[in-house]
Amino acid sequence: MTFLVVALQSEARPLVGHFRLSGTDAPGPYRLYRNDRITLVVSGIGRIACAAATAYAFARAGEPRNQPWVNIGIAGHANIALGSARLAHRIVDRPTERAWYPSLVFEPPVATAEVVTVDRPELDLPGNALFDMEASAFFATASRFGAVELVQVLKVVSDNRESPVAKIDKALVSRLIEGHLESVAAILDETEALALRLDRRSPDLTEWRRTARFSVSQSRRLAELLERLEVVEKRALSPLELPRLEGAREILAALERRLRLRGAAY
Amino acid sequence: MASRSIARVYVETEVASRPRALEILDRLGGAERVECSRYTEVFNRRAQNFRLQKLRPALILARKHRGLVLPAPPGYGVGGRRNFYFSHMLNCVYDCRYCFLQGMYRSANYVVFVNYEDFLAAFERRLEEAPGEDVWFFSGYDCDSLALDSLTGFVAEFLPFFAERPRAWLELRTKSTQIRGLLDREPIPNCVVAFSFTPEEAHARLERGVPSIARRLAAMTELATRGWRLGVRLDPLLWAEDFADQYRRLLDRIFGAVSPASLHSVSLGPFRLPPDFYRRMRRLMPEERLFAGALETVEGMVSYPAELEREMTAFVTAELERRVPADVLFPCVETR
Ligand code: SF4
Repeated sequence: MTFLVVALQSEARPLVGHFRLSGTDAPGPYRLYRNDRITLVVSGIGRIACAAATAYAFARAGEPRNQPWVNIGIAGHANIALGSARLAHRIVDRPTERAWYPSLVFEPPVATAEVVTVDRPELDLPGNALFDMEASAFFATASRFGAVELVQVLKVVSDNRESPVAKIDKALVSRLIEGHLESVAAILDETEALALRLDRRSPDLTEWRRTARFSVSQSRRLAELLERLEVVEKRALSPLELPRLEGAREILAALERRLRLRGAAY
Repeated sequence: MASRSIARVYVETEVASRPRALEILDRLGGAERVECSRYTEVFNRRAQNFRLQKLRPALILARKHRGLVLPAPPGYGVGGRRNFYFSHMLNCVYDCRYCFLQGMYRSANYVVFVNYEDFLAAFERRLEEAPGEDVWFFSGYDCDSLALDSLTGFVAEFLPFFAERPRAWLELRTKSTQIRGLLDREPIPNCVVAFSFTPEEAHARLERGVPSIARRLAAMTELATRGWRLGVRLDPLLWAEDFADQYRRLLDRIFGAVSPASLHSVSLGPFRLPPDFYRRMRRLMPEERLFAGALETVEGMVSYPAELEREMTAFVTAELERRVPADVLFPCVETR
């Protein structure tokens, strides 16, 4: 499952349409849209709302680890043209001055830039950074849910020194996001491909648990041995293939023996 | 060249205007530049995934503040009494499945510490601590010594120090054929260029991006012709059903190409990993047969079962004894 986090309903609208997401009826503090591939949450403006909505989407989905997380939204910049998009290569949380550096392990579909997250709209737009109100909170939260390489922030310039923040309205926001649906799709393709590399199917222990009672640490050892045997023997092992054994300890010992016999070749 | 694929460079603000950092940035041409205050903000952060980062490693230019020169682990050495190691760089452009750097770091980005002069000052201090004695400095523990030399200029900047101090010994451990920096200068007798090898079969299966055995041997012969002293490192020793044949073939090739006169030292090292490195590597590469098979924890290290390790070490040592003079052979293995 890929997760998109946006602050505004007007940012969500083009994404919901493009990816054919449906609103969920379930009551909850944040609006969610979904299909088989994507969950989109609308957080509201600001760091606290964004962190909470990100955590909420994670919990609602059953806490799946190592999934792509992308924050999409508008931002201001001193002089980058309205409607240009940037992927964050550095995110600074202005209130704390903490910094994060998203890992860009794929060819970015748009140029990259620094994003500074502030608590009040930044009217002066100093330096060469984009200014937003959510990215740092999003990144700090979503990077707890798995590999940080899957967490990305895409911002579209909505205001600059020539076109101040006061000119922004809902229709403009939707239009700006709509102009970068291809970039969003490219980021999703890339991060989903990365997530696939981390997709590990743990061995199914159900049958094994029927044959004996395994403590937590024994279950962990069992899973490790079965995983290793599956690589070595190139197929999953069933408990029926072992001679009748009494208890978890004996089973683990038998699996260890079996692994030893299979050798240590590479 | 590996440096051509570096698309992004993180530069510590502190070193951003140093000439060496600027030279490296210049050599990288179009790579995007991002400033950071300490390299640890980018390197080895929680939740980074080594395998994913290895798809497109970035370069980080930083300053090393502490621990520039450290005592070498026991068993690391080729006859010297005082052994130290240092890393002007972390991580490697190659991708060996067994490489312990994957267990040590969460990040695959390359870090280059550009304050070379601080390394040289640290060497000087170590030499002063041992007046009149030889002191060894090993490079290639946390990286490949030469693979990125055309970018870092490491050899050109470090070798003059050793050329002027005959009791300071340098080992450049490598699997690379980037020897231009060495060929560009006069050889120095207290520098050993040590090439690591595993058998052809292991090279093909486990050493991604590493130059072929033939190319490494060609580089060695070229260096020998110019008067450089060479090392051969059979490290790690990797087991296979026909390991004896594999190693015999490998040794025939190496010592068929490299003349004994150019050999400074030949050593071998077993395949051993600290348990937490092993766990992390297995998690990163669950499909890797090398980590799935019958490895055991022996005396706090994950390794082949002691008996197998002994068998391999004894076999390879005996084969080496038939091929190289005893005074250049350093088996380097604490037997179990
Ligand atoms: S050449 Fe050495 S440092 Fe580089 S990946 Fe291989 S084992 Fe690791």
